[in-house]
Amino acid sequence: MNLESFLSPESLLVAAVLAPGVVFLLLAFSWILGYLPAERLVARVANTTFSFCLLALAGMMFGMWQTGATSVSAGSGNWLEVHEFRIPLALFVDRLSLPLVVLTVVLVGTVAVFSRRYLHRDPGFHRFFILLHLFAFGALLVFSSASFDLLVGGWELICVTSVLLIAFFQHRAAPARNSVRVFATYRACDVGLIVGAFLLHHATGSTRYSEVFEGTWPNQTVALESGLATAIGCLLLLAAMGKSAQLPFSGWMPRAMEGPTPSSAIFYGAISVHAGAYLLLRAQPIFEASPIASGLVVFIGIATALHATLVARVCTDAKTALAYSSVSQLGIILAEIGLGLSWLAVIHIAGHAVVRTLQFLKAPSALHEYHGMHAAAGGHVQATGLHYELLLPPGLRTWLYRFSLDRGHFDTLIERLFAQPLERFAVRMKAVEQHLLPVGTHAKGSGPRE
Amino acid sequence: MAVPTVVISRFATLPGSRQLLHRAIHHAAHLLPAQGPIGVFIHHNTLHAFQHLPFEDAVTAAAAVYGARPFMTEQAYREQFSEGRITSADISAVVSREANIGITDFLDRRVLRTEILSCGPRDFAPSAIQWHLDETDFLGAFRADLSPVAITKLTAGRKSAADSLQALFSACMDVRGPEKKPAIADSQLPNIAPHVIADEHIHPLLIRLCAAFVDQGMAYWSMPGREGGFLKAVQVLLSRRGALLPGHFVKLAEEFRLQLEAGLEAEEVVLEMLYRLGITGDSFDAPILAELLELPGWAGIMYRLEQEPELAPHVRLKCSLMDYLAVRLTLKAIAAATLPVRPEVRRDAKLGTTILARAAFRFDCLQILGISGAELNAMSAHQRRYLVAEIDALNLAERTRLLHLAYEFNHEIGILKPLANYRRINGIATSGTRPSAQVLFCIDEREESTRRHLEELAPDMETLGAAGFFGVAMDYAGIDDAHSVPLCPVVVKPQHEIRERAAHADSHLSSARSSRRKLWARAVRYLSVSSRTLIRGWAGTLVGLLALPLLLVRVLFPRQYGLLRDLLHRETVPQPRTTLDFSRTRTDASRSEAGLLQGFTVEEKIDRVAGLLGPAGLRGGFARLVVILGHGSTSLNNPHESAHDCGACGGRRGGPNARLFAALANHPAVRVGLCDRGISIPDDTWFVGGYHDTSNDLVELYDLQEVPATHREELNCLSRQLDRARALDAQERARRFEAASPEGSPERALRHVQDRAEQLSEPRPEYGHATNAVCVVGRRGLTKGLFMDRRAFLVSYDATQDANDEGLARLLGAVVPVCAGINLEYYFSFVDNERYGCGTKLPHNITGLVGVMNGPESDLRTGLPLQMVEIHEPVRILFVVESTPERVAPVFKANPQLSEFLENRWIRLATLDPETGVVHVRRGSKFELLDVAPSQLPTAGNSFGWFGSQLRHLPLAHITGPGWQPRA
Repeated sequence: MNLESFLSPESLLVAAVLAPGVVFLLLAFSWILGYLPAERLVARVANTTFSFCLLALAGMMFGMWQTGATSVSAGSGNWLEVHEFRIPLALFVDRLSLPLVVLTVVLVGTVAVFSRRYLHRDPGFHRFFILLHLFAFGALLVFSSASFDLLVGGWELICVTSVLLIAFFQHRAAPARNSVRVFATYRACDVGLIVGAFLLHHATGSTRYSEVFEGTWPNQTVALESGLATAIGCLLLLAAMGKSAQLPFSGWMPRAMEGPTPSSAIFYGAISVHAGAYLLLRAQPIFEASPIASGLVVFIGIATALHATLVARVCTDAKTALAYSSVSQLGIILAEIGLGLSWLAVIHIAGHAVVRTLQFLKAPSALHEYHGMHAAAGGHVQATGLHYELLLPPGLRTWLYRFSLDRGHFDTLIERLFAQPLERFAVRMKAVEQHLLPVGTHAKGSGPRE
Repeated sequence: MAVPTVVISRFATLPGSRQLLHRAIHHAAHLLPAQGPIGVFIHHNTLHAFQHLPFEDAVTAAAAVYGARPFMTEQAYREQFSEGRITSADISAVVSREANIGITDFLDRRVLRTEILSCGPRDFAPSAIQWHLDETDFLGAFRADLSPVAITKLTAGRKSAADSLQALFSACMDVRGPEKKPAIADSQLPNIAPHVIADEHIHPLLIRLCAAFVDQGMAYWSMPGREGGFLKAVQVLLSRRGALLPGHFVKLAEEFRLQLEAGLEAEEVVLEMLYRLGITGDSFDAPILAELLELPGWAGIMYRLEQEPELAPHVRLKCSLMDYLAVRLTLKAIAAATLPVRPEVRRDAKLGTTILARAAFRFDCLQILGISGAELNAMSAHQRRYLVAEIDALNLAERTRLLHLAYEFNHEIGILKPLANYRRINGIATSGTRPSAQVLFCIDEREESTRRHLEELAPDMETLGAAGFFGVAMDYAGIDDAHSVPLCPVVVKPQHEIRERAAHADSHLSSARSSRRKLWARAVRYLSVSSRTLIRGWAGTLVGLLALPLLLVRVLFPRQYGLLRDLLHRETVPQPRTTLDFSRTRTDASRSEAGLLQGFTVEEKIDRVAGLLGPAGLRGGFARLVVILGHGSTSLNNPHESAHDCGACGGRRGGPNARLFAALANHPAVRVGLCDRGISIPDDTWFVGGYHDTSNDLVELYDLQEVPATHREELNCLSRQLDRARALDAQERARRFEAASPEGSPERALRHVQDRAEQLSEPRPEYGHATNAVCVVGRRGLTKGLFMDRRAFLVSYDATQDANDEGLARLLGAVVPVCAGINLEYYFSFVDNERYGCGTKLPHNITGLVGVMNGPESDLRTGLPLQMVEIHEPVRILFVVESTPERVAPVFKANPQLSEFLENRWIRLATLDPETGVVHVRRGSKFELLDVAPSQLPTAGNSFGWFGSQLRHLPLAHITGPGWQPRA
C-alpha cells in the first residue's frame, strides 16, 4: 500500500474509529497481565489517542473537501455470515454522522484531559481510562457504522461502559444498585433496536443504510409499506427512548449520577444520551414513511420535555438538576426529529452536548460560583419560579411540586407495570421449578450476593 | 371497616413519655455531626460530644456508637513500623508507662506486649483459619521473622519445626482461658436499628424531602409551605391525593392527612409512631439515637440549623430535629407495616471458628514469645490461664491503641529532642540591631514555610506569628460583599462593625462598580437558570457550540483563563480606592440594627493593638516596616473551599483584619496610648496590611498609597522579597504534589500552584492543614532557621516579658481550641475517612448549597474528604510552650476548656524553659523531664537543599542559609 491509500479518507476514518478501540485493548490487556502503567503515561496515551483521532478526522475532511464528496464509506468483509444474513464490517460517515463523530472525539478528548487530574491517585484511575477508551470506540462505532447491525455493537459498548462507570465506586451499595437499574432499563429498551434491525433486514434484505435508503441524508426515502415502517419505527423509538432517557424511562437518569463527575459529563451531558436521537435521525426515512411513528416521536419528546423541565425545577442538587435539564432538551430534540427538522436537531445536539459538558464539569464548583454571583448581585439574587406561582392556584401548585418532587411517579409506574409483575412471574416460575425438580438440587445461596 | 378517626393512641399522651422523648433527643442530638452549611467550614473536634472523656476511652466509646475505627488500621501501623516510623524502643517506652504485672517467672506484661507488638501478630480472617491449617505452611514452618532465640526455645526437644508447631497449636486448642467478654469486640458491629429493611425504602423520599426543605437556592422552585416547619410542610405536601405511590407508601397520604386534621404536634407524632413501631419502655435513648444515626448528616444539619438558624447562608428556616424525627418515623411506621419482614442475615461467626481464631492468635503470639507447647503444658493451670488471658487482652483494639501511642511517642521525640538541641546549640537570638523589616503572619502551619523562606532571603528580617484575626474581632463588609460577616474565632461574638468604603474621591467609581457587578451577576444568573429551563434552554443550547472555546480553554488552559478573567474584570469594572470605616468617638454608643458599635474608640483601638503586640513580645525593637499578612484560600472543584481559609477568622479570609490592624497601629493617638502601656513604637515605623492566598500563593499588600515616601525604597525591597518567598513557598508545597514536576524551579512551581487553583478538575488545590502536628508557643529564636516541614503552628510569645502569665493565658485560650479543633478534625477524618470524614470527593454532589452527597441521593456527608487528608499523620497536636511547667500548669488549670483538652489528653503538651532550654513533657498528669543527649541536627544550606524532590514527611533540620551563621 502506498502513502496515498494510507491517507485516503477511507483509511483515515477507519484509523480514527479503531484507535480508541486498540488503545482500550492495549490498556485492558496490560491491566489483566498485571502491569499498571504510571498515571502520567496513561494520560499521555489518552491525549495522543484523541489528538490522533482528531488529526485523522481533519485529514479525512480535507480529503472529502478536495474531492467534493459528502460521504465516506470504508471497510469490507463481514463480521458474521449465516446463510443470507450477514453483518458487514463497514463504516460510513455522511453529513449526519460527521458532526457527531468530530464532536465525540473533541469532547471525549477534553474529558480525558479533565479526568487525568480529577481521578489522580484514585484506585480506579486505570479502570476509568480503560472504560473511557472503550466508550469512545463504542460511540464512534455507533455514529460511523454503515449498517444498523454494526450500530448495535457500538450501542452495546456504550451500554456496558455506562453501567460500569455508574458502578465505579464499587465499595458502596448505592452505585451498584443504581447501575443495575440503569442496566435493566437499557437492556429492556435495546430489544427495540435488535428486533427493529431484524425486521428491517427481513423486509428489505439488508440493514446497510446505503442499501435500505435511497438518496443522501437528509433527503432519503425508504421502500417500506407504512404498517411495517410504523412497526420498525416504534421499535427503534423504544431503543432511543431508553438511551435518551425519554418517558417513561427517564428515571434512570438521576441514578446514573452515581459515577464520577467527568463520566456523568461525557455520558449524560454529551454523547451517550444523544445516541438515541442519532438513531432516530439515521432512521429518518422510516419515520417519514410512517406518520404514526413520527407522531409518536413528537408526542414522547414533548411529554418528556415538559415532564423533565418540571422535575428539574425542584431538584436541589447540582448533578440531578443538570440531568433533568438534559432530559428536557433531549425531549425537544426528539420532537424536532419527529417534526422532520433534521438539521435543527443536529445543531441542537451539538450545542447541547457542549453546554452540558461544561456545566457538568463545573458542577463541583457550583458553590464557589454561586457565592461569587451572590456577592456581585449585592445579596439580592433574582428569585426564580415566580411566573408559575402567580399563575397557579396554591392547591395546584402544591400538587405540581409534589408531582415533580417524585419525578412524575414514573419510577413507581414502571415498578407497578413491569417490575412487580415480572417479579411475581419469577416467583411463580420458581415455585413451578421447585415442584418439578426433586428437592436438594437447589444451590443454597440463592439469595442476593453481597 | 371502621374509619380511623383518632390517630393518636393513649400512649402518646402519657405524661412521662414526653419527658423521656425530650431526654432521648437531647442525648442523641449531641452525638450528631456539628457541621453547619459547608459554605463556612469551621474545624472542630469531630468527637466534641466525647470530649469529657479521656482520649483513648472517648475514641473507643465513639467507635462503638458510630461503628467507626478508633485508631488507624493495624495494617497501617505495621507499615509505619516497617518504615521505622515506629520502633521497638517506642513500643517499649509506651508499654513501660502502663501498669506492669508479672505473668511467669521470666515474663511480665511489659515484655510480652513489647515483643508481640514489635513482631506483630499475623492477620488471619477467622473463617480462613481452617483453610490455613489444611492448605498452608501454618503448622509447618515458623513465622519468618522469629528471632533465633525464640526458634531455639521453640524447637527444644523436638525433631522438627512442624513437630513443635503442631504441639504448640494443640496446646493452644486445649488451654482454657477465662472466657470473659472483652471490653471491645475485635470487630465491633454498628448498632442495628429495628426494621432495617424499612430504612432503605424510606431514605430516597426522606432525603429528597430534607434536601428540598433546607435548600438555600439551588432549586428553581422552593418547597411550598416550608416557612411552617418541616413536619407541616411535609404533611401538606404528602397528604395530597392524586399521587402514584409505591406499595409501601400507599397509606402515607392518609396518615399525613389524619395528622394534619388532628393538628398533632411533632412530639405527639413521634410518640405515636414509636408506639406503632413497637418501641416502648422506660427509655427511648437507644432507639432514637439509632434512628437519627441512620442519616446522621441530614439529622445533624436539621439540629444545627435549629440551634443556630443564622448559619443558613441565604434562607433562614424553622428547622427542628423533632420535626425531622416525626417525618422519619411516620414514613418508617407506614413502610414497616406493609413491607415483608425479611429475616435479618446475620453472619455470626460460628463458635468453632471463634475457638479456632482465638487459638490461632495465641499460637502466633506464643511463637513470638518463644514459648513451646511443652513449656505451656508444663505450667501450672493457673499460670497458663494467666498467660493466655494476657495474650487475649492484647486484642485488636488494645494493639492499635498501643501502636498509636508508640506512633505518637516517636513523633514527640522526633520534635522535642531536635528542638532542645537546636536551642542548646544556637541559644536565643537577641541581636542588638534593628531588623530590616518585621512580618506578622497567622500562626497557621502553612505559613511556616513562607516565614522560613523569607528569613532565608533576608536573615535580618524578623517574622512573627499571631492568631490570624490579629486581635480585631469585627463584623465586616467589604465593598464587594453582599452581607457583613464576623471575622473572628467562632467562639467570639464581634461587638464592632467595620465597613469598607470607597475613598471620598472615588465614590462615583464605587457605584459604577457595584452596578457593573450587578449587571454581571444578572447575566451569570440568567444564563445559568435559563440553560436549565425549557424554552430559554432551547434557545441557549441551539447556539451552544459558541461555548466550545470556553470549555476548551477552561479545561486545557486554566491558568490562562484565570489571567484573562482577571484582566477583563480589571478593564470592565472600575476599581475605586477604598478605606476602612473604623473610628467612633468615645461618646457615641449608638448601636446598629444588629446591635453593633460602629467602629472603635481610641481606647478600644489601643486595647486591640496592645493585646496583640504585648503577648507576642513586641514591646520595642520595631523595624521601620511592619507587614501584617492575613490569609485565605481560593479554589475550584472544592465544596470544602472554606475549610482552607483562616480558622481564627471563623473559616473566612483574614485580609481585612490585617488591613485594619495596620490602620489601627498607624494611628497617632493609638501610638501615644501604647506608649503608656509600655509599648513604644518609633515614629518612623509604618504598618502595612496584606493578604496571602495559601492556594495560589498570591501575596498582596493594602493601602500602599498611604505609605510615607521615606519608606518607599524599603517597601519595594520587601515586596521583592515577599514575591520571591511566595515562589519558594510554592516550590516547597509542590514537593507534596505528585502531579508537579519534581525538580521544578520556584517560578515553575508558582505557575503550577496557580494552575491548580484555577483547575475545574483539581480535587487537591492545596493540602490545607494536612500533616499538622505541632504548635510552638515561644520566641521565633527557638525555631528560626529550623525546617519544620509546614507542620507546626508558630505562635509568638515571650515568657520573659510576661511576668504574671496573663499574656500566655490569653494566647493559649485562643490558640489551643483553634489548633486542637483543626488537628482533631484531621485526625478523625484520616483514621476513618468513611465514617468521620466524607470519603472521596469524586462522587460528591453539592446539594442545596449546604453540603455534599455521594451521587444523587445519600446522607449529607460531613467531615473532611479523602483528598484533603490523604497525606496526614494522625497524631494529637503537640504543644511546645516556651515556659516552665510551674507557670504553664496554672494557666491550663484556670481555664476549664483548656483544662479539658489537657486533662483528657486531647492534646499533648511540653514546655521548654526560656532560661535554660530544659524540656519537660506532660505524661499522664504530671510533667516529666526529658533527657536530651546533645547531638547535631542535620543541616542544609537552604530549604530546597533539604526537601528536594521528596514526597515523604521530613525530620527537623537546621537550615544554615548562605549568609546566616549559627550563633555560638
